[in-house]
Amino acid sequence: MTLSNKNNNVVSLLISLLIHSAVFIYVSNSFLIASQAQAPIYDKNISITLLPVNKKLKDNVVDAETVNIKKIAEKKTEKKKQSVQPEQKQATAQKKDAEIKREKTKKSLSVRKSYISTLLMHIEGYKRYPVSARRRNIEGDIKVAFHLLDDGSISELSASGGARALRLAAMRSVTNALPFPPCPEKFNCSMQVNFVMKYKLR
Amino acid sequence: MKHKNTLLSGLSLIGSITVFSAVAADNEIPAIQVEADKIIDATTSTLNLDNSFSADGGELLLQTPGVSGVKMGNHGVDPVIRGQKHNQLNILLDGAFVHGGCPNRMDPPSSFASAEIYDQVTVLKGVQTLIYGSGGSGGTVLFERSVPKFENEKTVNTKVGAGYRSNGKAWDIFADVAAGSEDGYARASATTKKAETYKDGDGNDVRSGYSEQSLMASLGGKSDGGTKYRFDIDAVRGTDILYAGANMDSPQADNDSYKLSIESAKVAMFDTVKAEIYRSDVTHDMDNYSYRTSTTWMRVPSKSITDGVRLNGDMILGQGDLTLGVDYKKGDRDATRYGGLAGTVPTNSNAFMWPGVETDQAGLFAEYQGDFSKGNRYTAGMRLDKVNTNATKAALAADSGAIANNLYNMYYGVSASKKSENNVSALYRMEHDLSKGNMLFWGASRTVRTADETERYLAAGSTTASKRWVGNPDLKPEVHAQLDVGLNFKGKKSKSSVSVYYDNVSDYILRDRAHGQEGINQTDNATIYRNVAAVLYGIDYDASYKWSDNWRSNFTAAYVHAHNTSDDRVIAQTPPLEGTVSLEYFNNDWIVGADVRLVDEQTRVEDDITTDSGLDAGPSESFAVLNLYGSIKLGKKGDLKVGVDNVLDKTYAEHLNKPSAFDTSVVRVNEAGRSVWTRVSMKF
Repeated sequence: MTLSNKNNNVVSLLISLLIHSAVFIYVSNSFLIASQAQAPIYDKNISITLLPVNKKLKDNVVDAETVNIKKIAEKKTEKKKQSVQPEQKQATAQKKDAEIKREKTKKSLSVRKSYISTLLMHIEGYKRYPVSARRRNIEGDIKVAFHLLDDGSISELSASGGARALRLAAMRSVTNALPFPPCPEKFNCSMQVNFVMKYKLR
Repeated sequence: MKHKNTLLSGLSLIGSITVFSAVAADNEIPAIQVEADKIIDATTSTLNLDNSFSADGGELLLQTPGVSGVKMGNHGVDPVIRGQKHNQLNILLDGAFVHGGCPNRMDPPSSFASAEIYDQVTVLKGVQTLIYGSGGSGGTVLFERSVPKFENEKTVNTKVGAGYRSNGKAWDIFADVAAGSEDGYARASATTKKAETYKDGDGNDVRSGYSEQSLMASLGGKSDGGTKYRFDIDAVRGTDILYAGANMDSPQADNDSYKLSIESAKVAMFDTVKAEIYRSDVTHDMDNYSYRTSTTWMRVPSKSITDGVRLNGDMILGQGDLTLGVDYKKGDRDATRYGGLAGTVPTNSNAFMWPGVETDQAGLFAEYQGDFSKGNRYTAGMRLDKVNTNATKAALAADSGAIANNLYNMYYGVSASKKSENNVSALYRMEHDLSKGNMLFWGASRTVRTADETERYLAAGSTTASKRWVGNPDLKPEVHAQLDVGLNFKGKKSKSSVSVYYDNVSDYILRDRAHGQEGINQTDNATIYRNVAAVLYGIDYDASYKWSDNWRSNFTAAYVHAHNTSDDRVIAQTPPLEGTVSLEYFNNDWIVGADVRLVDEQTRVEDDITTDSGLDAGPSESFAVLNLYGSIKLGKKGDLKVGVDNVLDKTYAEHLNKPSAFDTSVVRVNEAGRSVWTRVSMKF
């Protein structure tokens, strides 16, 4: 190194600052992890609304009212089915089995949906728009993916698309949100979770 | 109390971010929306590329508050940020360094960056990061391209446009077409522009014409595993570039750049990895006879090739992101001056101005951006650079017998030899969220910039001593120790940001004249370079105020004070205090506004080559310039912008001028008189 004596002081000062900051990172990290575990950062004032992402999604979203109507229709059909001839009973029983299966799947799907919904709302509590990106006018859509395991932990977390700062922020919002809310009982939580984080500046 | 403050700042942060989510049916991708307010910051600017008419990237950058430019003509404005220029600034064209071919910087990096072939430009003042390269004490400018977005199942995006500026009859047209999908695309954009000499406010011609064609082609793709590839080719062809502020004009200023980048998520311990490799190949030619008459003819063809590699990896570590990386840059630069009698193209070389200069720099860097606690962020970075440099033709004799080493020996008592430097840079920056969206930041940095090819090796001899221009192979690298403090305020109707900085420079590389200073063996007023101690300090201010739902104003100010403490002399070519005030009416469809740029006089000058550096063309006067502008949406696809620059047709010149080693009569270049401009663009 060909550093002049004059600069040696500055260098040692900066190196010392770096080392101190490394210690500080360690200390502050443990503090943060502890504080997050105690109090997740939910803000009662934040309005969390369930919104369709786009038209295509909107068409496919089944709202509560539609489900009710369908259920009533199904019940009516069931009543009609009860009054059919005995020779048709076997076939009807098979149909019933199939229906029960479908119902189960439906139930499981709706549990799954509602769990994903809970999960995302939980992750939302940890969202942050990085200040560096807000300053540099960086916006974009980040695709986040991870595999949720039965024990509530995750693997293969990845973020793609958009600027580096936003990708990292999106990933951090997931890691910071851990541990996730517990999985509903008797339900297999192991699944692939994909979602998009849309960063937009006002 | 401490906890209360933390809580408050935390709440204010969350309060400013509204979050919506959507959970859709199975097999569909739900989205979480994160919205936040833009932050106005005196140290960071992003430019709207469509907002004005500009000859090149240099003129475009002048829109940024606090950015000045050294002007020789209309094309090739060389940006100055916080009084710092040349390689005190890191200017990257889509991740690549493009170093110009002209030893006198007729073609600075930004001259190869037409607004039409880029998507966004970011100006970072001071040292905010170390990942873009060594040096960069004055700032970093990023000209960037984004990946085309194909929305609503569109497979082709097209943008076309044209512009015209009345003074100098400058025009440009451009087209940008991208075709593909999310998985891959091909994109091409092209622009052609031409201008004649403009007139100043008094109606006098100012040599400033130019002609340029730029073409950019880009191919992007994505593998099944999500790895993204991109290959870009840029070809810029400049010709007929006239300079009022130099003794030569440029018949050729070309750049060919090639760049390959690969970006991947999850490689080993990294969450994202990006590898880039590039080459830029600049060919420049200048002479004093193609566009003007001279008694003796002279030409300087030159070549500058820059090869670079950058490998960056980011990982989430604790409450922050760690970036680790390496970069390598190799430059080959060669410029030879030929002279002869008028009437025949000179073929006799009389100076190896850049005597086959080879410089390579290998850097290793680490930067961590993280949170101390909620609302308290910091950046800590470090970078090590090894620089090797050599002038391969320093001992060779030109046709005239001139040898670069003889000049170096005459002025500094040294010959060029292989030199090596180990440079250490470090950065520490803190940001504190205060209540109500206000923010305080401060930073300390040490950055080192190595002398550039001109400062170290330029060798232009002359029988008249004051016309000699001699680089100093013994220059030490310039070391900046900077402190930077700033505040961002947010009021009900206003946003403002102020930043003050203090830069203590050891071994500041000063362009001076030979007066027998320490280490200088002559007192003959030749242009030389030497290391001195210097101090630079200043302030940047940026604010916006919303008078009502449709009226708003912007205010900016910038000041820098630069002093050579070794000799107790001013540092020449320092921009004076300046500011802008604007008032505009806006609604969803159109904007109309006016701005006034106020520039103070500069009396801290060096204008006598017999006693100082003589780089300034005397003290400069204060001036104010009024501009009008407006824009209107043309349906959903079009955009029309119009403006009148210098409405009052004032005759004025910026303080900064291009100093000449050869001709001390070179003066400031007058700016254009009244000029009406328009730009129209359509997107399909």
